[in-house]
Amino acid sequence: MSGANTVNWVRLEALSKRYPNGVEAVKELSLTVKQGEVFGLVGPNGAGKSTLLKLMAGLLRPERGRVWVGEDDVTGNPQAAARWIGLMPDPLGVYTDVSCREYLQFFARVHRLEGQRLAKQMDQAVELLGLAPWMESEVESLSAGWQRRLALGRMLLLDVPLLLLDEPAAGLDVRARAELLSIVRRLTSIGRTVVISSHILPELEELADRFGIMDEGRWVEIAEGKTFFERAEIRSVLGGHQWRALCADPAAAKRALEAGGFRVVEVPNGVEFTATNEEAASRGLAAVLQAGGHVRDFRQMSSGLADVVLGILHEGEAQ
Amino acid sequence: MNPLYWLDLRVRVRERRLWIMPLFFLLIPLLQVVLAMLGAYTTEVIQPGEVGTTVAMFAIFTQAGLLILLSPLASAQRISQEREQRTYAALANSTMTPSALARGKLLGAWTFTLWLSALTLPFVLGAALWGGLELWVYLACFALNVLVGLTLSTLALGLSGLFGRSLSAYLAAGAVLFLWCFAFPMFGGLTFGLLSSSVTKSLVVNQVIMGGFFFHHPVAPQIWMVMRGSGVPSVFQDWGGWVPALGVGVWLLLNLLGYALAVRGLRREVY
Repeated sequence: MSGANTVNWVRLEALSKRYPNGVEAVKELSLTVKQGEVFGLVGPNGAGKSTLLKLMAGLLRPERGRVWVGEDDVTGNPQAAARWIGLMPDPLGVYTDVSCREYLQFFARVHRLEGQRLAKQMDQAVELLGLAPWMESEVESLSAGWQRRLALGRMLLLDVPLLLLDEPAAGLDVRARAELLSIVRRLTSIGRTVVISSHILPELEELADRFGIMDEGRWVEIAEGKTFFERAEIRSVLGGHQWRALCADPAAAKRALEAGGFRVVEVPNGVEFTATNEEAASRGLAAVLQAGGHVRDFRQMSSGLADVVLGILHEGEAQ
Repeated sequence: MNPLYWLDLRVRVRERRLWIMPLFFLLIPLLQVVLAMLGAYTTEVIQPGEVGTTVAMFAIFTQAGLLILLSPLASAQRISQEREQRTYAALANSTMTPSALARGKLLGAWTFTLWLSALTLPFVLGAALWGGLELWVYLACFALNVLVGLTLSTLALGLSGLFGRSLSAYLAAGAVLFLWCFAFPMFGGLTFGLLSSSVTKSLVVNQVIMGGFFFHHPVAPQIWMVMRGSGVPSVFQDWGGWVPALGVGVWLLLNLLGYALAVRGLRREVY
């Protein structure tokens, strides 16, 4: 990677892509991703996330715009892109009639990886992904979660610095999803740059340094992860924090909160209300205690990325 | 070794029901023996000396038929399946060029054809031991059968690159096969019939019609060889050695076309 621009390592310059059926999936998109950064792509179905990742991997040729990795122009050139980029596509296809070892060996051969280097990188990938017990099993016999791990193994084996993960947790149960995301976290800790698109937004919120929110092939918002939720306009989108109180008489608690000017909904065995700050939340709690009787539980509900994205998209539609 | 070829061999070796095909092929020598016995019994129709020739023709053209039908069937999904099973994106996200990928696929397809040829070799050898034709005819016809199998295999591979779905590729391969094996000779025959009273008297017109519709047929050079070998007079025999040369030349061109289509198919974008 010598000579690579480590500040803006991956650069997309005004990319546009129109499919043969006339759909313009990506419209004049520009982006820079720094080395070692985790960039989260979010947006509704059909927003253009998968198209963008395939454009980055050179699998699609844009009508306009360029894709740069360091000093290399990899636009529409999958062979050039493959030196830097590993793509885990969605939906994920794997060769099922071979063992896990053969699957990894195949991609090692594809990339002319052999000898000591192959053995070393195979060991590292297998250890990191916990694949050792499955190496002689047929890929077909693996669960969806393990097949995704194997697909990640392909990229680790090749030691590419930039990983494009398109919906890596799609279709996985909660446990498999948590395990996969913990692997992605480990990958970022060993210096991989990751661009990840996901519908599992809470995990992405924890993982990504920056978010790009896409809709209809354009950026709606690109934001730093940490500061994103502190911004006033994001808070206003959410309308403050949600609080939940589980109490003896939810109906009475609801009436009392509404009388106090709170926005409130009744939930099973309790109420949820919106408060802009902790002082307002305390006033709400007092109202619940007074009208709703014994309070068994009172907590702030997390206002996640999903709410923010929905809020931003709704705001965009309204405008 | 080309990695795709390596993978293809691994997958074929793991195929659990691969033994069924050789078992099925055992039926053919059995039919061969029945044919020979019938031929020997009905000596009034077929002279005893012709039984060997009949068995030889049965062996050669059965082998040709199997290779003509099965080789393209085994190739017509090789590229489209990668797209259907969504494995192509991972494959394309590699440093292998489309032509290297096509070569890997082609080697896999050809290996199947050669394996099929090896399976059908015993009944051609059996016919050769029986006698009836000169040995060079058996050898030449076997080589031509293998070559036509490889050609159709390459052509079907090209079609699988052209179409995104295996079903479309199968249908296109079937259509090409029908066109080449049946429609062309039929059309050629009709042309002869329509022109029989006038211009077909001219040798040049005859040659054009025969060259355009018959001589490149998947079994035309084999017919020429068998006719020459058995001494049966035929229109092929009269026209000399350029008949198989034309046929084989067209086949080689079709090989190039199939390979070019496969490379083009592998260059396409991955949606």
